[in-house]
Amino acid sequence: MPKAAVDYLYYLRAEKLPHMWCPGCGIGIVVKSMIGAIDSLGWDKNDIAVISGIGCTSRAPGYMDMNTLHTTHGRALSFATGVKMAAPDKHIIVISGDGDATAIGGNHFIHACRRNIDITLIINNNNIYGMTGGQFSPTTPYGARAATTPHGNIDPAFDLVELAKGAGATYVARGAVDNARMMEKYFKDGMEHHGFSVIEILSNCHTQYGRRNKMADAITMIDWISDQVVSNKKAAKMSPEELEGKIITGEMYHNTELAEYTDEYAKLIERVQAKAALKA
Amino acid sequence: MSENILRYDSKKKDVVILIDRNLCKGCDICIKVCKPECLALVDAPDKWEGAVVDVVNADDCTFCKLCELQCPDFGIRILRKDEVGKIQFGDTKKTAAEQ
Repeated sequence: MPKAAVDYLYYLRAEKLPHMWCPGCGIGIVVKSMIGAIDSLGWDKNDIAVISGIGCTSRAPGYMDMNTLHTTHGRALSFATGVKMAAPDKHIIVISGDGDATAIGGNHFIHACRRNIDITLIINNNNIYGMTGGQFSPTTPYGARAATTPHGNIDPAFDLVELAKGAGATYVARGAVDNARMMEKYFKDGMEHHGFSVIEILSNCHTQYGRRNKMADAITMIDWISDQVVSNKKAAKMSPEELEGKIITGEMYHNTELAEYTDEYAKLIERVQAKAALKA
Repeated sequence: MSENILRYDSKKKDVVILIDRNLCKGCDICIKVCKPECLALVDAPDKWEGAVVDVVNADDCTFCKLCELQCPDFGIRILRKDEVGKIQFGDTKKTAAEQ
């Protein structure tokens, strides 16, 4: 029995469409997969809060008909932590770009990972600051051109999966924009996971990144991503030489053992209240 | 349905292809992912992008839904005949004008 069709417009502020992203932009596909995952989980849209910072990707909550919060640059996770602490029974999703999550919000990112608070973080990694004019970001590949690196980038790029794992996130996955079905699966698993989940999506910004690196349209850039990615099942059978220059996708880490932050906080309240009751 | 919603029924299968001309930006992604080559870009002088997707061969659609999943603009839907009308689609501009 095939899956019933998803009513995308039910989850969207349809009157705001068409959206402001460029033709062929991967963010639209990320938003669509996100809605697909929410729909397959059967969550009520009033129980979901979608929070973002600043940037192209962070415009996504504006189009989503849920509880949405558009916050300051890089601070989406701080606001999300506050929302989660105030309403621990709600589902919190943060959608963020690579610059927003890992450069300006880098500190918030590692500490949210460390806390293991039940938030799903979706990072749309398009290798560049798209909205502000194509400056290089911490995920711009070595040698790539950007508005601020006209002769090639000499900074090594961040590996967001390793960073999230190292900082203590309990669900880490990486998908690519060329495979919406897999992306939807990682979103679903990440949202279901009780703890901090990070899903990195390799996306295309042909307007700012592609135009400066001989990939000026969506198709060329999505093909470039497709050529680089290898699933983790396939990668297990490949030699280190074959994996040179490849990016491994798939579910990278899943730990259900570690304690979640709001649970620990509830326990703390209980403990302290019991102590106070004894004294009184 | 408004004139900006294009509807194509497959003669071979229980498949309906819907395209919203308001939302399509002519990015070419759906055409690239469609293996049976059901879709093509056509000129659209009324649109800023200058091109919009259209169906050239609805009968060969295999219901794989890749075009729908990969469309960044929510501009194309592949539905069963009985799902048309139950699933909201199109007329987003009209909603904006009403408000």
